[in-house]
Amino acid sequence: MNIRELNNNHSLNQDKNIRMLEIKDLHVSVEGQEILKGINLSVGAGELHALMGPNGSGKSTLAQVLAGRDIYQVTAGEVLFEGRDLLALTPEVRARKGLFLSFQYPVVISGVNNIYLLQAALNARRKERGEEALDAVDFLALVRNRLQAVQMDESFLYRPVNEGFSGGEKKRNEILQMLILEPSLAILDETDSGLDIDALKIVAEGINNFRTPQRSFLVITHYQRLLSYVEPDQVHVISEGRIVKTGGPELAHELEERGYGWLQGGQPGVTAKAAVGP
Amino acid sequence: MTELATKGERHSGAAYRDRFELLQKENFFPAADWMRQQRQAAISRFVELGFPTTRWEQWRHTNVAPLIATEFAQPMESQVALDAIAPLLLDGHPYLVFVGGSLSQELSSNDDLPSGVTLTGLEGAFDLAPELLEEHLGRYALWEDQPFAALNTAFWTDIAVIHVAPNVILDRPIRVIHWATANGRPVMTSPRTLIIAETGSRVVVLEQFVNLEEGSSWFNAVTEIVAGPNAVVECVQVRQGGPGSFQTTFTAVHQAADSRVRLHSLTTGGRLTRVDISANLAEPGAELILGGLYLVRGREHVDHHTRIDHVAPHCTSRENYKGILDDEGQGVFNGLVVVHPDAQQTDAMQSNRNLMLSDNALVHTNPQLEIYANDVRCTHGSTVGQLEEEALFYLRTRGLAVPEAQRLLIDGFAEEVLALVNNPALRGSLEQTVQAWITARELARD
Repeated sequence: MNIRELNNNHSLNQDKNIRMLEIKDLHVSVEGQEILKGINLSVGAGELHALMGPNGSGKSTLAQVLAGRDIYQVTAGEVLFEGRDLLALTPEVRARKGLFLSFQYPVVISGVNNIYLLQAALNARRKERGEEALDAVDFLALVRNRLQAVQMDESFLYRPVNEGFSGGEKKRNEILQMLILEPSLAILDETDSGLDIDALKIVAEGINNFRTPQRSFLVITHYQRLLSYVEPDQVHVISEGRIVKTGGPELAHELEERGYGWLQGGQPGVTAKAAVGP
Repeated sequence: MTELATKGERHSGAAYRDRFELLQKENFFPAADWMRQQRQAAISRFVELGFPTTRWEQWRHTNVAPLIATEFAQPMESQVALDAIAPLLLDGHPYLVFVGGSLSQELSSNDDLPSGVTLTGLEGAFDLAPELLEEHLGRYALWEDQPFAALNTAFWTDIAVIHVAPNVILDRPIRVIHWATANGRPVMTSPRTLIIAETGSRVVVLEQFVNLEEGSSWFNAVTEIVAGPNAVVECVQVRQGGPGSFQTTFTAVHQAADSRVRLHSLTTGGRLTRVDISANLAEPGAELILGGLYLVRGREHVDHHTRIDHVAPHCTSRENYKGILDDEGQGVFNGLVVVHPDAQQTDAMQSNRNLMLSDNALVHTNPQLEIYANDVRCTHGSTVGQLEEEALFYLRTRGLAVPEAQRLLIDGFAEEVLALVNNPALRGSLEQTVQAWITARELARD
């Protein structure tokens, strides 16, 4: 079996008019300090959007809020995921309904084997879709197939989650989880940082093979590097809690050459090139 | 049955002496001359020491006043349904069942043993090898310093004896089950176990203390483990106490040259539990692994005091104790490693970690090193922490509900200690006990 065959579309939403993810005027604070100051972002089914920005611009906060981290307070705005109110759902329900966050810093879970978590996570997702839990044989076949896709050794399954993993192994392990859980929306938070070029290519290939006309991606990155291998539909630049520029793939290259300086200070108008819409 | 104690005498333990003398007069206790002398010396010593108070350094955090205030009867003969014990038994494993401190031959199954392995009660041991008992029984438990060990030494009525002849290897675990009885009133039971592994032998033992009767039964147990030269012993002690139960247990380990001992402890339940472990690495090359897990909830109080004496050079000890505490549970861990002047090249590591599941739980942790040699490698440390929010969130983003995520993290915390258990059957049975505890905890919260 190959990955594309397994990538059935489990999205509840076949209506082309309903966006995969719609963020409207989202304001978020932590400990009284506003970090996101009115984010607007819309990702259609099958689209891959890149969110770029300097350190401290609010990229990771947005990823964590979308996944449901409760240390952040949403003070205004709304988020729709396949048309439903995302913010009303607990983190686990978001996951089961097909939202996946690849962590910037994957967490070590001592004493819990990787394969145990994979199975528990997959079964939670399948139950939500009204599917039976996979039996041990089918589950192992699926996992082995996905391991190959990220070029991970089977021994990783029997090690505690992320314990003693190198930076690159942790990121590949996140992609492995994504490939097994088959989310409809994958948010990849700096999955490319800390990767050497070989690992980066593996991760990029994992993403590319996983793209379907229904599945969407929000790829958060500091660097343009990953976007040389993964072609975005749109690139957004976030600065000081606002999206200051939106463009096509060429925007990423421009950022690589010019840095973020020219976009900061909330003056998107000074750019030489006009924003390119979808 | 004698009445226990007028109030003023309670702390001195005189009531126990009076009862002892009466029972002794009635020839209640099994006796050889040396045993009679040992009992007599032990009860005298107990009266001299008295019950510990919180002014004793080793009892600072554990107040035995409720135990002192309770009148305990001697165990009566009683029947325990096989149904009650059956779930504890693993198929195909030899076992002894002691009810109220006495061997129940009809509940036990000890005929299917390889030659060279003895598993028997006092009577059988007397028939087989009385000199072995005299050589070892009461020689390692520190009843001259420990009032509860002294009390057991005076009052035990039967013994579980496990003896493995030189170079005999038995990997099927042997089980010894100590079952408490209550009969509607508090009872003091004095379980006693002696494990002797001769030169080059290997044995695996599960010693289980089940004290789940209603009411305030008290297990006051002593276990002595002797590992001969090059012997390998793995022993798991499981203590399961009911809501009103008291448990005081003292385990002594004596290791000859190049012996390897793994001693694991799992404690759940009980109103008041005190576990003392004392290990003596007496000859060069001995290796000791001490693993422990205490699961404390409700208003339970569990105290572990361990002491490892590195007497000989070139010995290794590894100690890893973990506590999981919920509700208003209280835990105490006091681990002492003493490196004696001749014990050069000692390699000792000690760790105690505690996972607090409630703001009202309390733990006192005190790892200690006393080093009198100069060429040693010793480390120790302790931590007290909570479930990590980051980890909980990570698991939830993978679709796990909060209770399931918590269960995984608690399991994961315990895993490191369970992984120290070599024997797969025993490890599996301990994992089940941990799972059952987590389930009971979840149910109590619903």
